[in-house]
Amino acid sequence: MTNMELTLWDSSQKEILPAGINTPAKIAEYAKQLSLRERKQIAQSFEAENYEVAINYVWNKAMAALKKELSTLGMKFLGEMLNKPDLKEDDNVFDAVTDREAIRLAAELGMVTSTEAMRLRQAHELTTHFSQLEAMESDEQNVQMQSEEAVSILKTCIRNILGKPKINVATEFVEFRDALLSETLKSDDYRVSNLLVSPYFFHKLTVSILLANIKKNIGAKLQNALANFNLIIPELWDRLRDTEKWQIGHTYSEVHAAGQSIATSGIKAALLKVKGFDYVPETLRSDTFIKAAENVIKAHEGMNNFFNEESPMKVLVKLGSTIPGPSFSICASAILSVRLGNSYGHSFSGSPLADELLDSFTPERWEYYLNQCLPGDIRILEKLTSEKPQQNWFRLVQKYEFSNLHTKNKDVTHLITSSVSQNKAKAQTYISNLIQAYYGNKKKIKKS
Amino acid sequence: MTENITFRTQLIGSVTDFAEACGIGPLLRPAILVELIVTLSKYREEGSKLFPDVYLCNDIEEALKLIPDHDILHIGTTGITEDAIKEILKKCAPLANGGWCIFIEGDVKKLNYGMFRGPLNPLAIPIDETLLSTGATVKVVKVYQVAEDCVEIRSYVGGLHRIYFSNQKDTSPSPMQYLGNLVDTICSKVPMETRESVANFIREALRNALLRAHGSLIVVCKSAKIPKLLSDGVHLAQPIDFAKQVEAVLDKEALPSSLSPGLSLLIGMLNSDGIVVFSNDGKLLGYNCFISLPTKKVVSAQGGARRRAFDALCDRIGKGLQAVFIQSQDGGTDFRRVKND
Repeated sequence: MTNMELTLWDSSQKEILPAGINTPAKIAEYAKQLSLRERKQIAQSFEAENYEVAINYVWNKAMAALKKELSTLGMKFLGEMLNKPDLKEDDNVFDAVTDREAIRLAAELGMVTSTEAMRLRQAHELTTHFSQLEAMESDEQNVQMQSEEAVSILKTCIRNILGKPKINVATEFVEFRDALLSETLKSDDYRVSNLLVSPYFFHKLTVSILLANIKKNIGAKLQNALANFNLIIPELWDRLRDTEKWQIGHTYSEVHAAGQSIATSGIKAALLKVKGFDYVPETLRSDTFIKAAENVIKAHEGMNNFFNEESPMKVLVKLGSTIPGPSFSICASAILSVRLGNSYGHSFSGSPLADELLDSFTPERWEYYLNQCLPGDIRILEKLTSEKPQQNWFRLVQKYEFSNLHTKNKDVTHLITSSVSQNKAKAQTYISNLIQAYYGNKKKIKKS
Repeated sequence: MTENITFRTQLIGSVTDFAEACGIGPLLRPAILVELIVTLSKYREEGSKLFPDVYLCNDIEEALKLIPDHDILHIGTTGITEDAIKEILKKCAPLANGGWCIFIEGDVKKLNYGMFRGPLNPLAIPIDETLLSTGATVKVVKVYQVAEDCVEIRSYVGGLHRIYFSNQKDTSPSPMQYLGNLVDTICSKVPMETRESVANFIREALRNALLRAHGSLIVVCKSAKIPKLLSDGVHLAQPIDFAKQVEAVLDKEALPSSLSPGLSLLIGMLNSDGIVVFSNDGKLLGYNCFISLPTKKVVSAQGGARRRAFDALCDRIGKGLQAVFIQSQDGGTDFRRVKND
């Protein structure tokens, strides 16, 4: 990994499921992680046209296998990647990581390709959609999963998860993270140089990893994390977006409030170097907003989301429309997630609450979101690749007159222009550009 | 022939280098600094002793950026004169309670003054640790009464002067010199993960309590059981477990305000007669304890009852006791603990 930028590790996809296998019974035979009895039951359910029952079972099995594999990396590490620093090693992966987050992690860690991640996301939405249909609605409208849809989900689950005895993780990724904690890197270290020219995803992840470990560790790991923080942050500062700068300031206030002298003085030293104390929140009021936004996202990405979004959205609305700077990024992401919905629509009870908050955003706040948050808000960018959320986005662009705002990012500007003209193809191009800029190019995973 | 003898000249001479090294400009003229030191040494308002912490700086807003969850209250503006100090203290010192400190911000022609406070969370890093270790970025000097007849001035560049208004020798230890050792011993068996936070909390609690106490005697036991020699006293049936309370706050299972009641009790106990007893895992075991002084062996011919009790307790170090700390009424402190501890 010398003299090159860090790139996402892409899974080298061995052929798990040969082309031309199309009958459910034959496909199920390739599910190595399932028992013979389970494979047989799946085939029987397909034969009886009980597609939803079969797919629910397959999906739950696939997610359980994926999350179990992810948990072998350690819950703290997953917490760092998901920006959930409160995750503890003994937390249950099935409770702590949503299906959508598991798919995102699988893609970022090179366990599945980005195309397959997209298929998994679609499978997730389809499965969720049918599982949350009211019984009455399903009977009256004769809405049911089609055979082709079910076969497609079955194939996706087996090809990416259930057909693999073990899902390979990009070990280099874990090694880089370990180096941040086990070594004091020097400024001329190639890993530091590589990081500086790498895509934003790595900058964001490095900040997240270092802050999580500064908060939680003691002894040598803490000292290494602080030394590397003081080396890397001054170099990265000008390239970091406000979201990450607020994250640093917020962590400073957290360790300060917890009386962690060593961590506080280490972060303080870095903030003094970059004159970054404007990003330290004056109060910890933003904590309440961050927690409320996290609950909205959890409901949005969980089962029965259209029903479950309303309650946490009400809590967020009750906190008031003056969202503190440090929590604005995650709050905006949560509110937009509810408003844009997913490929099956949006929550009728949650959306008006989201509108209430979005209506209170000033043009300056929208400019801030479009310039500082959207290019790194992978949750929203991925959402915009689906048709219904994209349509809802077009309406937002019109309603809040984004075209009159001053945007600095070229792709964001073009996305707004194409959204105004409702040009789906062009919009898709600029969304892809933004995702590409965030993650960078892929490279093949190294297998040991 | 009548001759006036004052230590003003000597004091001005002594703080001149300190003031120049700080580079805060007209605000830190030696005469102003001396006025502040002398006034704070015995500050009273309406007959009550007051112990305000005063911070001098050239940009309070910039300084407070380093302290999350702070608050500020601007009170007024005055000219840069020696009388200004009396005016500022008159208006601000009575407000300097419950974590509020006085700030004096100087520019070329005037002084702005008022109150500020640090975080409300009792676990938070003390203000001094944040403001007085900033390198040259934010210039701050603190002046405060550290004990009866003793004022300390500390600067952001690490300068420290201790001015005694008593017959103390030049080599006298700082009234708070052993506080760190005492706290280290009290927290020596607290789990590593939370030790730093627990130690910070207990250090600040003791610092505030000792400042207001008229002398104190504190022992640290090796176990959670108070030794027999201290059987005469109040043994808490349920010791106050500061380490556990802090852990609960860090785990967000309790609010930071849940620490305040224990803190108030500790202050009250230190103000009571007798010995305050801690264990080495951060528990407060008892107070108002007394030790029978040996009749055969005269431990110390000098000193009052507290000093003699201290000497007697020192004999028991290693036999159930891990450490003993004394602060006498005049602010002098001493500390002994098990060797190689």
